[in-house]
Amino acid sequence: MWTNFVNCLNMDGYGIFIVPSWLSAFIILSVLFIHTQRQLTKLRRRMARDQ
Amino acid sequence: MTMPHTPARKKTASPAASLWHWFTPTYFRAVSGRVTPIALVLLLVTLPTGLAYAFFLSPPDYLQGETVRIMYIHVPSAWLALALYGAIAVASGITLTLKLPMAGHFATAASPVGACFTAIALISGSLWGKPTWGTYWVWDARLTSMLVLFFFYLAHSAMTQAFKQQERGQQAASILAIVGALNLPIIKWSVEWWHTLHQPESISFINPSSHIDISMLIPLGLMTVALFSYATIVITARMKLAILQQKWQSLLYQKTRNRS
Repeated sequence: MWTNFVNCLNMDGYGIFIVPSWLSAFIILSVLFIHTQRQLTKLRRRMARDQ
Repeated sequence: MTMPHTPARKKTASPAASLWHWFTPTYFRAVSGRVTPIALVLLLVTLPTGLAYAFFLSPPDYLQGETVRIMYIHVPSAWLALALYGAIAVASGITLTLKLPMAGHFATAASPVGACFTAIALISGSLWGKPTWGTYWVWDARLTSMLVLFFFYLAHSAMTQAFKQQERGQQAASILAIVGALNLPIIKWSVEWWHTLHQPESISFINPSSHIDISMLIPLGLMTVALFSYATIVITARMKLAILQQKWQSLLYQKTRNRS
Protein backbone atom coordinates (compact mmCIF):
# COMPACT_ATOMS: atom_id res chain seq x y z
CA MET A 1 0.00 0.00 0.00
CA TRP A 2 2.66 2.54 1.07
CA THR A 3 5.00 1.21 -1.64
CA ASN A 4 2.50 2.33 -4.29
CA PHE A 5 2.43 5.86 -2.86
CA VAL A 6 6.21 6.08 -2.43
CA ASN A 7 6.69 4.91 -6.03
CA CYS A 8 4.32 7.64 -7.20
CA LEU A 9 6.44 10.32 -5.51
CA ASN A 10 9.76 8.93 -6.70
CA MET A 11 11.17 11.78 -8.77
CA ASP A 12 13.86 9.53 -10.24
CA GLY A 13 11.13 7.28 -11.56
CA TYR A 14 7.63 8.00 -12.86
CA GLY A 15 6.98 10.55 -10.10
CA ILE A 16 8.34 13.23 -12.42
CA PHE A 17 5.20 12.74 -14.55
CA ILE A 18 2.63 11.72 -11.92
CA VAL A 19 3.25 14.54 -9.39
CA PRO A 20 3.00 17.48 -11.86
CA SER A 21 -0.13 16.09 -13.52
CA TRP A 22 -2.04 15.82 -10.21
CA LEU A 23 -0.53 19.01 -8.82
CA SER A 24 -1.50 21.05 -11.89
CA ALA A 25 -5.06 19.71 -11.64
CA PHE A 26 -5.35 20.69 -7.97
CA ILE A 27 -3.85 24.14 -8.62
CA ILE A 28 -6.20 24.84 -11.57
CA LEU A 29 -9.30 23.68 -9.67
CA SER A 30 -8.33 25.57 -6.49
CA VAL A 31 -7.67 28.79 -8.41
CA LEU A 32 -11.04 28.49 -10.19
CA PHE A 33 -12.89 27.94 -6.90
CA ILE A 34 -11.13 30.79 -5.07
CA HIS A 35 -11.58 33.14 -8.05
CA THR A 36 -15.33 32.37 -8.18
CA GLN A 37 -15.79 32.97 -4.46
CA ARG A 38 -13.79 36.22 -4.60
CA GLN A 39 -15.84 37.51 -7.54
CA LEU A 40 -19.07 36.70 -5.69
CA THR A 41 -17.90 38.46 -2.52
CA LYS A 42 -16.68 41.49 -4.49
CA LEU A 43 -19.94 41.87 -6.39
CA ARG A 44 -22.08 41.44 -3.28
CA ARG A 45 -20.02 44.11 -1.50
CA ARG A 46 -20.26 46.47 -4.47
CA MET A 47 -24.03 45.97 -4.70
CA ALA A 48 -24.46 46.59 -0.97
CA ARG A 49 -22.37 49.78 -1.23
CA ASP A 50 -24.28 51.10 -4.27
CA GLN A 51 -27.70 50.45 -2.74
CA MET B 1 -59.72 30.94 14.88
CA THR B 2 -60.18 29.47 11.46
CA MET B 3 -58.93 31.00 8.27
CA PRO B 4 -61.60 32.18 5.85
CA HIS B 5 -62.18 29.82 2.98
CA THR B 6 -60.31 30.83 -0.10
CA PRO B 7 -61.37 29.34 -3.41
CA ALA B 8 -58.77 27.14 -5.11
CA ARG B 9 -56.84 28.99 -7.77
CA LYS B 10 -57.52 27.81 -11.28
CA LYS B 11 -54.53 26.39 -13.11
CA THR B 12 -54.38 28.73 -16.05
CA ALA B 13 -50.62 28.60 -16.74
CA SER B 14 -49.78 27.38 -20.21
CA PRO B 15 -47.09 24.68 -20.65
CA ALA B 16 -44.69 27.34 -21.94
CA ALA B 17 -45.31 29.49 -18.86
CA SER B 18 -44.72 26.56 -16.49
CA LEU B 19 -41.51 25.75 -18.37
CA TRP B 20 -40.50 29.37 -17.88
CA HIS B 21 -41.11 28.95 -14.12
CA TRP B 22 -38.50 26.15 -14.02
CA PHE B 23 -35.91 28.52 -15.43
CA THR B 24 -36.44 31.53 -13.17
CA PRO B 25 -33.75 32.85 -10.76
CA THR B 26 -36.16 32.30 -7.83
CA TYR B 27 -36.58 28.63 -8.67
CA PHE B 28 -32.83 28.30 -9.32
CA ARG B 29 -32.07 29.73 -5.86
CA ALA B 30 -34.40 27.18 -4.26
CA VAL B 31 -32.90 24.27 -6.23
CA SER B 32 -29.27 25.37 -5.77
CA GLY B 33 -29.86 25.64 -2.02
CA ARG B 34 -30.59 21.90 -2.03
CA VAL B 35 -28.16 20.76 -4.72
CA THR B 36 -25.01 22.47 -3.41
CA PRO B 37 -24.96 20.74 0.04
CA ILE B 38 -25.59 17.34 -1.60
CA ALA B 39 -22.74 17.95 -4.08
CA LEU B 40 -20.49 19.12 -1.22
CA VAL B 41 -21.17 15.95 0.80
CA LEU B 42 -20.54 13.80 -2.30
CA LEU B 43 -17.27 15.66 -2.93
CA LEU B 44 -16.12 15.28 0.70
CA VAL B 45 -16.84 11.54 0.58
CA THR B 46 -15.62 10.61 -2.89
CA LEU B 47 -12.49 12.79 -3.16
CA PRO B 48 -10.54 11.35 -0.18
CA THR B 49 -11.72 7.81 -1.01
CA GLY B 50 -10.84 8.28 -4.67
CA LEU B 51 -7.39 9.65 -3.79
CA ALA B 52 -6.78 6.78 -1.37
CA TYR B 53 -7.67 4.26 -4.08
CA ALA B 54 -5.71 6.13 -6.76
CA PHE B 55 -2.46 6.39 -4.80
CA PHE B 56 -2.54 3.59 -2.22
CA LEU B 57 -4.98 0.80 -2.99
CA SER B 58 -5.07 0.38 -6.76
CA PRO B 59 -2.23 -1.69 -8.23
CA PRO B 60 0.25 -0.45 -10.86
CA ASP B 61 -0.56 -1.43 -14.44
CA TYR B 62 1.24 -4.52 -15.81
CA LEU B 63 2.39 -2.52 -18.86
CA GLN B 64 2.45 1.16 -17.87
CA GLY B 65 3.48 0.70 -14.24
CA GLU B 66 2.78 3.61 -11.87
CA THR B 67 1.97 6.09 -14.66
CA VAL B 68 -1.51 4.57 -14.87
CA ARG B 69 -2.35 6.73 -11.81
CA ILE B 70 -2.49 9.76 -14.13
CA MET B 71 -5.59 8.12 -15.67
CA TYR B 72 -7.63 8.83 -12.51
CA ILE B 73 -7.39 12.58 -13.11
CA HIS B 74 -6.99 12.61 -16.91
CA VAL B 75 -10.04 10.53 -17.91
CA PRO B 76 -12.67 12.15 -15.57
CA SER B 77 -11.43 15.61 -16.63
CA ALA B 78 -11.76 14.72 -20.32
CA TRP B 79 -15.27 13.29 -19.75
CA LEU B 80 -16.32 16.45 -17.90
CA ALA B 81 -14.81 18.68 -20.58
CA LEU B 82 -16.92 16.95 -23.24
CA ALA B 83 -20.08 16.68 -21.11
CA LEU B 84 -19.97 20.35 -20.12
CA TYR B 85 -19.52 21.50 -23.71
CA GLY B 86 -22.49 19.34 -24.74
CA ALA B 87 -24.56 20.90 -21.95
CA ILE B 88 -23.42 24.40 -22.99
CA ALA B 89 -24.43 23.69 -26.60
CA VAL B 90 -27.93 22.54 -25.48
CA ALA B 91 -28.26 25.59 -23.19
CA SER B 92 -27.17 27.81 -26.06
CA GLY B 93 -29.88 26.33 -28.28
CA ILE B 94 -32.43 27.10 -25.56
CA THR B 95 -31.05 30.65 -25.19
CA LEU B 96 -31.44 31.34 -28.90
CA THR B 97 -34.83 29.69 -29.42
CA LEU B 98 -36.79 30.01 -26.14
CA LYS B 99 -34.89 33.08 -24.83
CA LEU B 100 -34.69 31.64 -21.31
CA PRO B 101 -32.15 33.78 -19.37
CA MET B 102 -31.16 30.96 -17.00
CA ALA B 103 -29.93 28.85 -19.93
CA GLY B 104 -27.62 31.73 -20.92
CA HIS B 105 -26.43 32.05 -17.32
CA PHE B 106 -25.67 28.32 -17.24
CA ALA B 107 -23.59 28.54 -20.44
CA THR B 108 -21.70 31.59 -19.07
CA ALA B 109 -21.05 29.80 -15.76
CA ALA B 110 -20.05 26.42 -17.20
CA SER B 111 -17.67 27.75 -19.85
CA PRO B 112 -14.63 28.58 -17.61
CA VAL B 113 -15.19 25.35 -15.65
CA GLY B 114 -15.14 23.33 -18.86
CA ALA B 115 -12.03 25.20 -20.02
CA CYS B 116 -10.26 24.26 -16.77
CA PHE B 117 -11.16 20.57 -17.17
CA THR B 118 -9.98 20.63 -20.80
CA ALA B 119 -6.68 22.21 -19.69
CA ILE B 120 -6.26 19.50 -17.01
CA ALA B 121 -7.00 16.76 -19.58
CA LEU B 122 -4.43 18.27 -21.98
CA ILE B 123 -1.71 18.80 -19.35
CA SER B 124 -2.13 15.41 -17.67
CA GLY B 125 -2.43 13.69 -21.06
CA SER B 126 0.75 15.33 -22.23
CA LEU B 127 2.58 14.26 -19.04
CA TRP B 128 1.20 10.73 -19.47
CA GLY B 129 2.24 10.70 -23.13
CA LYS B 130 5.95 11.15 -22.46
CA PRO B 131 6.56 7.85 -20.59
CA THR B 132 3.96 5.98 -22.68
CA TRP B 133 4.53 7.24 -26.24
CA GLY B 134 7.95 8.86 -25.82
CA THR B 135 6.66 12.36 -26.58
CA TYR B 136 4.67 15.07 -24.81
CA TRP B 137 2.66 16.07 -27.86
CA VAL B 138 1.73 14.78 -31.30
CA TRP B 139 -0.67 16.40 -33.73
CA ASP B 140 -2.93 13.36 -33.90
CA ALA B 141 -6.71 13.60 -34.28
CA ARG B 142 -7.68 13.15 -30.59
CA LEU B 143 -5.12 15.56 -29.15
CA THR B 144 -5.67 18.21 -31.81
CA SER B 145 -9.48 18.06 -31.51
CA MET B 146 -9.18 18.42 -27.71
CA LEU B 147 -6.97 21.47 -28.21
CA VAL B 148 -9.61 22.89 -30.57
CA LEU B 149 -12.23 22.29 -27.83
CA PHE B 150 -10.05 24.26 -25.41
CA PHE B 151 -9.90 27.18 -27.88
CA PHE B 152 -13.69 27.03 -28.29
CA TYR B 153 -14.08 27.24 -24.51
CA LEU B 154 -11.74 30.26 -24.36
CA ALA B 155 -13.54 31.95 -27.26
CA HIS B 156 -16.94 31.28 -25.62
CA SER B 157 -15.80 32.79 -22.31
CA ALA B 158 -14.31 35.81 -24.09
CA MET B 159 -17.47 36.29 -26.16
CA THR B 160 -19.74 36.37 -23.08
CA GLN B 161 -17.59 39.20 -21.67
CA ALA B 162 -17.17 41.08 -24.96
CA PHE B 163 -20.42 43.10 -24.79
CA LYS B 164 -21.56 45.68 -22.27
CA GLN B 165 -24.99 44.07 -22.16
CA GLN B 166 -24.73 40.56 -20.69
CA GLU B 167 -27.64 39.21 -22.78
CA ARG B 168 -26.03 40.23 -26.09
CA GLY B 169 -22.78 38.55 -25.10
CA GLN B 170 -24.65 35.38 -24.19
CA GLN B 171 -26.48 35.34 -27.52
CA ALA B 172 -23.29 35.78 -29.53
CA ALA B 173 -21.54 33.11 -27.47
CA SER B 174 -24.51 30.77 -28.01
CA ILE B 175 -23.94 30.79 -31.78
CA LEU B 176 -20.26 30.00 -31.23
CA ALA B 177 -21.11 27.18 -28.80
CA ILE B 178 -23.49 25.55 -31.29
CA VAL B 179 -20.87 25.76 -34.07
CA GLY B 180 -18.26 24.30 -31.70
CA ALA B 181 -20.54 21.37 -30.86
CA LEU B 182 -19.59 19.91 -34.26
CA ASN B 183 -16.19 19.19 -32.69
CA LEU B 184 -17.70 16.84 -30.05
CA PRO B 185 -18.37 13.83 -32.34
CA ILE B 186 -14.94 14.39 -33.90
CA ILE B 187 -13.30 14.12 -30.44
CA LYS B 188 -15.42 11.11 -29.49
CA TRP B 189 -14.83 9.03 -32.61
CA SER B 190 -11.43 10.40 -33.65
CA VAL B 191 -9.71 7.30 -32.24
CA GLU B 192 -11.90 5.09 -34.44
CA TRP B 193 -12.02 7.18 -37.62
CA TRP B 194 -8.26 7.77 -37.85
CA HIS B 195 -5.13 5.88 -36.82
CA THR B 196 -4.14 7.82 -33.73
CA LEU B 197 -1.39 7.45 -31.15
CA HIS B 198 -4.10 7.89 -28.51
CA GLN B 199 -5.59 4.55 -27.50
CA PRO B 200 -9.23 3.66 -28.32
CA GLU B 201 -11.68 4.03 -25.43
CA SER B 202 -11.51 1.35 -22.74
CA ILE B 203 -14.93 2.07 -21.26
CA SER B 204 -18.04 2.44 -23.36
CA PHE B 205 -21.31 3.76 -21.96
CA ILE B 206 -23.22 2.26 -24.91
CA ASN B 207 -21.50 -1.12 -24.79
CA PRO B 208 -21.20 -2.08 -21.10
CA SER B 209 -18.11 -4.25 -21.65
CA SER B 210 -15.03 -2.81 -19.94
CA HIS B 211 -11.36 -3.54 -20.51
CA ILE B 212 -10.39 -2.12 -17.12
CA ASP B 213 -9.99 -4.23 -14.00
CA ILE B 214 -12.38 -3.48 -11.13
CA SER B 215 -9.43 -2.38 -8.92
CA MET B 216 -8.85 0.48 -11.39
CA LEU B 217 -12.50 1.06 -12.21
CA ILE B 218 -13.34 1.95 -8.57
CA PRO B 219 -10.91 4.92 -8.26
CA LEU B 220 -11.88 6.05 -11.76
CA GLY B 221 -15.56 6.06 -10.78
CA LEU B 222 -14.90 7.78 -7.45
CA MET B 223 -12.80 10.52 -9.05
CA THR B 224 -15.46 11.03 -11.73
CA VAL B 225 -18.14 11.56 -9.05
CA ALA B 226 -15.78 13.86 -7.10
CA LEU B 227 -14.99 16.05 -10.11
CA PHE B 228 -18.65 16.08 -11.19
CA SER B 229 -19.63 17.26 -7.67
CA TYR B 230 -16.92 19.93 -7.77
CA ALA B 231 -18.18 21.13 -11.17
CA THR B 232 -21.76 21.29 -9.81
CA ILE B 233 -20.67 23.43 -6.84
CA VAL B 234 -18.60 25.85 -8.93
CA ILE B 235 -21.15 26.14 -11.76
CA THR B 236 -23.92 26.85 -9.24
CA ALA B 237 -21.79 29.57 -7.62
CA ARG B 238 -20.95 31.08 -11.01
CA MET B 239 -24.63 31.04 -12.02
CA LYS B 240 -25.41 33.01 -8.86
CA LEU B 241 -22.66 35.41 -9.92
CA ALA B 242 -24.18 35.80 -13.42
CA ILE B 243 -27.64 36.48 -11.94
CA LEU B 244 -26.21 39.08 -9.53
CA GLN B 245 -24.25 40.74 -12.36
CA GLN B 246 -27.44 41.06 -14.43
CA LYS B 247 -29.30 42.47 -11.42
CA TRP B 248 -26.52 44.96 -10.76
CA GLN B 249 -26.44 46.04 -14.40
CA SER B 250 -30.18 46.74 -14.38
CA LEU B 251 -29.83 48.64 -11.08
CA LEU B 252 -27.08 50.82 -12.55
CA TYR B 253 -29.19 51.40 -15.67
CA GLN B 254 -32.16 52.50 -13.54
CA LYS B 255 -29.95 54.83 -11.49
CA THR B 256 -28.50 56.56 -14.55
CA ARG B 257 -32.00 56.88 -16.05
CA ASN B 258 -33.35 58.46 -12.87
CA ARG B 259 -30.46 60.98 -12.81
CA SER B 260 -31.04 62.02 -16.42
